[in-house]
Amino acid sequence: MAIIIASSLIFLFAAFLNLSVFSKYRKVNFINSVISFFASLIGFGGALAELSYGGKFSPINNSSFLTYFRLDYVSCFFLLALYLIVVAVSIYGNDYLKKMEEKKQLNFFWMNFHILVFSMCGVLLSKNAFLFLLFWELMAFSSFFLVMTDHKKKEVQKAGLIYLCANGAGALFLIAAFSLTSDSYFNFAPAMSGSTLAFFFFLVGFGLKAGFIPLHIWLPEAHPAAPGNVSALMSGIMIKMGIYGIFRALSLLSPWQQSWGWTILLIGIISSILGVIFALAQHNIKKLLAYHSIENIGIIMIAMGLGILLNLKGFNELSMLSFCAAFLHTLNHAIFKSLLFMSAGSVMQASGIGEIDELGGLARKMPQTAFFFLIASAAISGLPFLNGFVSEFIIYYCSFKALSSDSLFTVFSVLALSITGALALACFAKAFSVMFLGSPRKIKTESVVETGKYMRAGMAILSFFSILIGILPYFSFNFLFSKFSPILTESHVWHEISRIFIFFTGTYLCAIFFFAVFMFMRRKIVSENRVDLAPTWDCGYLASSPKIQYTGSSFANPLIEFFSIINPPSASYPAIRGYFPSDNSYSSHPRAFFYETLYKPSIDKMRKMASFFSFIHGGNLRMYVLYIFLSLLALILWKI
Amino acid sequence: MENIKLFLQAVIILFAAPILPGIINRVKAFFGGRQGRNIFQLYFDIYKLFNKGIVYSNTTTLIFRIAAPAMAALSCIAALIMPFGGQSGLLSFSGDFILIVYLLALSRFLLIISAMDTGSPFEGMGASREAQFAVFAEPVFFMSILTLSKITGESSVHGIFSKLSPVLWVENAPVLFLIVLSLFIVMLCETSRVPFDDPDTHLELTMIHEVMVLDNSGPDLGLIFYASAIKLWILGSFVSAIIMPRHSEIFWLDSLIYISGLAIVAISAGVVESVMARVRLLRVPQFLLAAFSVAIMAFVFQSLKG
Amino acid sequence: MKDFIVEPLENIEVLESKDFFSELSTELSKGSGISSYFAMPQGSDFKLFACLLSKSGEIKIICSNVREKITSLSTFFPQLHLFEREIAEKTGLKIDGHPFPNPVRYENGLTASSGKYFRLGGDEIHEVAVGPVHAGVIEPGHFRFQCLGENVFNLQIELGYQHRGIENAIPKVKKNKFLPLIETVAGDTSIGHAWTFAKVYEALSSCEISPRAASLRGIALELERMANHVGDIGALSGDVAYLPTSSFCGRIRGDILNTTAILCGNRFGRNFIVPGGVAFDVDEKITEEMMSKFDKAYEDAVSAISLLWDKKSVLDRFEKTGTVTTEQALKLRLVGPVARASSVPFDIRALFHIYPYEDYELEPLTLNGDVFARAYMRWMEIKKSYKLIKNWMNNLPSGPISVESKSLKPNSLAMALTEGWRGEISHVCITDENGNISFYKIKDPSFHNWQGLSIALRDAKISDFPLCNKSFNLSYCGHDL
Repeated sequence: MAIIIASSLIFLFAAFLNLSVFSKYRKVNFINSVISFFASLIGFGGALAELSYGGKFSPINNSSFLTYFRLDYVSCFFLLALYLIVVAVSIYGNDYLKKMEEKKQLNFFWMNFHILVFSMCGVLLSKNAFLFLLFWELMAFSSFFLVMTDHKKKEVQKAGLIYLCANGAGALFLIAAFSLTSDSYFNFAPAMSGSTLAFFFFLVGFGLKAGFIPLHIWLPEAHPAAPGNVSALMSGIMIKMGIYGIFRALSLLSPWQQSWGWTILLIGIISSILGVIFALAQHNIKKLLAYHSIENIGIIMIAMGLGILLNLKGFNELSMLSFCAAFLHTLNHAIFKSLLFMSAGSVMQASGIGEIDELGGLARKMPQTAFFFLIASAAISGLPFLNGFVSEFIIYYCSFKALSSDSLFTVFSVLALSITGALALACFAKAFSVMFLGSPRKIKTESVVETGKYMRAGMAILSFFSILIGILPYFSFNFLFSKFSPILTESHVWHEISRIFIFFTGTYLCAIFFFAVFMFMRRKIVSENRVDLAPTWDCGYLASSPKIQYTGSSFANPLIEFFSIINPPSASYPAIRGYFPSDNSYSSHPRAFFYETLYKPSIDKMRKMASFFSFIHGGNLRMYVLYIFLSLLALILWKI
Repeated sequence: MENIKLFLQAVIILFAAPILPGIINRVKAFFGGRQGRNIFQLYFDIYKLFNKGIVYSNTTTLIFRIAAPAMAALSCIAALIMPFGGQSGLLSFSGDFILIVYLLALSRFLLIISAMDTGSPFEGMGASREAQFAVFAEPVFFMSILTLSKITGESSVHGIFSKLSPVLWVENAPVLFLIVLSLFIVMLCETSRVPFDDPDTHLELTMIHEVMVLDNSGPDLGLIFYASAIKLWILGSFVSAIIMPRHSEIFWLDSLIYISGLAIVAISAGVVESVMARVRLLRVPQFLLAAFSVAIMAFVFQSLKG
Repeated sequence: MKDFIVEPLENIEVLESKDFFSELSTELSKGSGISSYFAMPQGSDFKLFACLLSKSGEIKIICSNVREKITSLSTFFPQLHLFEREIAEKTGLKIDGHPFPNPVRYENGLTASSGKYFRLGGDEIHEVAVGPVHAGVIEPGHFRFQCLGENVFNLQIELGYQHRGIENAIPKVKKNKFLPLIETVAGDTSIGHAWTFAKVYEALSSCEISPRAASLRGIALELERMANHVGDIGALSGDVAYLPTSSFCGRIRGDILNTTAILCGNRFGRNFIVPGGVAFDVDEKITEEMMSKFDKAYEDAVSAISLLWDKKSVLDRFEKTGTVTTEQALKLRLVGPVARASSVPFDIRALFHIYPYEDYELEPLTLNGDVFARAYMRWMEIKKSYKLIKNWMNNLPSGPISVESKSLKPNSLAMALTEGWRGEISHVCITDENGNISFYKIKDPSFHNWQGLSIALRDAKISDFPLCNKSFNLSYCGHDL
């Protein structure tokens, strides 16, 4: 614990240094990223140590400190995820931010960055409602400033505003929730009454941070607006603070109710399916990734909902296994989502384009970035060999094991997972192949170069962990979760899962062996001079054009049309009439469905209602004096 | 002895798979009043392809070069996990069908991105259709397996297959019949047969699977044909296990029953291909949704029973 | 009324440019169709001819002298569209105001990049380019689609890969080479084109053929029609993967072609029609052989094709696919079974009632111009052709099979029309002062109908394209000449 506290304090210190000292130095970026890297490496090491020794958390000999802070298993796990992501993002930031001109801006950026990491550590360590909220607000503000880095652009301003409102609203709900569940010293305490109400407040408050549907509207705005490494950090670990909060809320409020489990499960199912349907229609790569974050938060919620419902049905070990799956998916998602945002950031930086349909053929120029994006795409689709499959498998396993006549909810989780898995595969096959493969569409790839070595190093770290957890699930799972709960570790379920994971590794090795055999066979058969290169089959037409290639929108179009009931697209093109078509063009804009149908009308209504009361702001000084008088009168009367 | 049986199983699966498309083609020829292709034609084709050189498109990257062997490898591994003739496959554990389905999904992912790698609109079209139909076909499969799991109380493929017996049929006939129907439809969809795709067509604009491999040649194409045959074997096994539940303990008899079950599945696929027309591409999701509702009906019946 | 016209050139009034185009507009607005529209080189100028066919069957020919440019009327009368482009390409005249001046056959040194493609703007749209080399063994043609996903916004068809220069060759070759060249215009319409050429030749040489020859010609033409229609229906069912019909129809088409072979020794009817009559006669034995083979083939066809109309999955593919409305068919002047499937009752056989078609009538069918309509139309024609052939074979008039052909009138223009199996074939022949052919214009019915295919694919799905293409089954080489 000491190590972790130390590392988080380094961050705080670095933040202050940024304010004061660093403006003098020229290599601000480098120094900051180095500090961040080492601090998070220390923290990562500390978290690893705590997890592996488990139970022997080194307490600080100061009892009052322990009242307010504690490091238990869940905090440690989330801290591990946090530090891992920060390690990668720090190195990445070194190259990525080189484009930022003003040093003052860089100082401000890094200051907020360090404060953000510090506050996240604080959130994870706090045991006290007041401190929790303090760190929570600090996290909100620092991330707000980070999102507004490019504050000159209009969409960034709009994004920042929505984000700020979402944070504020979330904080209000959290205050309400904590007021129901803490004692007079603001320490966490079981709810005194109305635990469902508290649960609801917690769910909404943390949901606004986690970003499940329908509380997600800020996500698709804020993540694209922020610079690449900030999006990676936010999407990777910051929205998981919401998940952490929901779990803490569940541990505060007991006994759990059926309705809570069903609510979380249903929210999870809706978020995961709708999230990926919305993602399919997106043209901008970062918006697409933002919607996929919503989808994966949905999957985590499915796992948690499953855990609650299984617990209430008496399947204790399976319930705990579900929670393990939820946490593992949190870590996995942190890894591959940050990796996706980082590689998307490199692409946007190298090419200057963020629209998928304009890119193409980047794999020739940026092979390593393409590789990392491919790993992350396969991981997020839950494909074998990578980490996404492990967590999804555990959820499937729990569902199938618990399938009996009175636990039909498992059907829903299985179906939801299979649908989102297939849709995510479609979406990422499209994103990866349209961006990196084929020929360039609108972009000129001659000027594109591979990204700098620091960015690639950051991405490589995350890819390494993704592959590690994927190929060696037995060791990873054991390492991460054996200290979670002794009941689970001793149980039959645990042994079975461990055995299955060993089988996974065996299967993967067999597959690699077969692959090697086939490659060898092919090489033996085809000697070098019998391999020819030729243009792609173009039916013998002599004057080709770059438009003769599938676009991402065309790829996703049949699916978008099928789901257009839920997510009606808005396309603008005058239909081609007449026998001789004249100049015409087509463009479509994916709509932010919830924002436009739910939030905007209600906000507009509220504005209208508010403006109804605007007569109160008379502007007349005498009116205001009258108000003061009236309120004093009311107070006196009340006291009497 | 056990190890020899396992080894024999693996050999039979890996070498017998290409017969299934041959059986389907013979049935089609029979309906067309022709003699038709040799039943072993796919073997000859693969052999012929393996003796050719390769032409790579110069738009493609490394992904295109490794996709075909990777697909074949993944399909082979998935097939080895499937049980065979009453015995378990190389591996058997709870939830192994998830691994099988996802290995096939990884194979599909590689096929889609290697098709898009060529930069040709034909292959893009095929890739888009393949990705789309998987979205509707996978839930049907999972639903059917869920129902089977509920009926038999087992959660591994070997477990489910070994619990299936004529007695179970007597008790649960309507449910099992519905499951067979939905699994058969999923098999036809995933292996791109009529009514979802016409494997004999030459029209690129209508193809799903064949058009994705338009630019593959030589051994790569041979490996892809082989991988599709293995996929047909895997998906056909599910149907075959339900319609021919094994009940003896003798290895040879069980294996024979199992292989003849697969032959029956192939013959049925051939019959469907001969008498049905191919549906409009627009209607395929609706068709699969119909299969999904069949699977849900089966589940509901099973739940109502207790 | 006669299905041909022959006039001395000086009798055709040469109008002023302005008057020519206003006359053309008036005629087209009245509902006449353009049967042929071309420019003949005349020294340094060109003589522009327009041959119109009115709804009542009256053939009218107008002409004008043009020097550098002609006015385009395609925006108002889309049926002129390809003709004007053809004129521009062959003669170098400028077409004022043509909405889409692309080359037609890419002759005279034009390359693939000389044409422009309509491109729908926007990053999400992709183009699909199919051909000229296709996956099946079919004729070469290039199809350019503007698509989003599976939806086609526009289809542009560029042909010309099989341009052989037949029209330019005819005036230059010896007499005995005429028919071989004409029969290769479109190999599957050999009899249709040969008959039209024979009509033109006979008109120019004032020659009357005997009734027996006319009947035999009719039998050959209807056999050609039947064979192609049966083949088409088989191909359509093959495209939807309905094997019963497609396997059988392939064979049955072969049987019908073999019947033609019994008639004249060549499965496609080459060397059968000669100016003045036909080259081969039939006797009892041949008639019996033909009839038995032919009856068997028809029976098989009936049983194979009737399966289609009852099969819901097939009908689902055929109906509402690739629809061409009646209005579109009229505006583009589509011809043949394609037009009749869009409820445009136009058939040369029914319009002119020339022997042996005196009793030929069209049924009043209302079809809505989708793939089903075109397939069903073909089925109706198969049945009709069968009846006609049986009738003629059983009642062949006696007489000679050919008459001596005389020399051609000098300085004359002759035009003849025939209902080939795809639609209206028209040949125009102009002779010089010595009675030799100085200019020959061929128009295959596909020349009108390719535009119908483009229109049919608007707002359709790209996977339905092969089906639509097969339902039209147009001639690439007939277009390319």
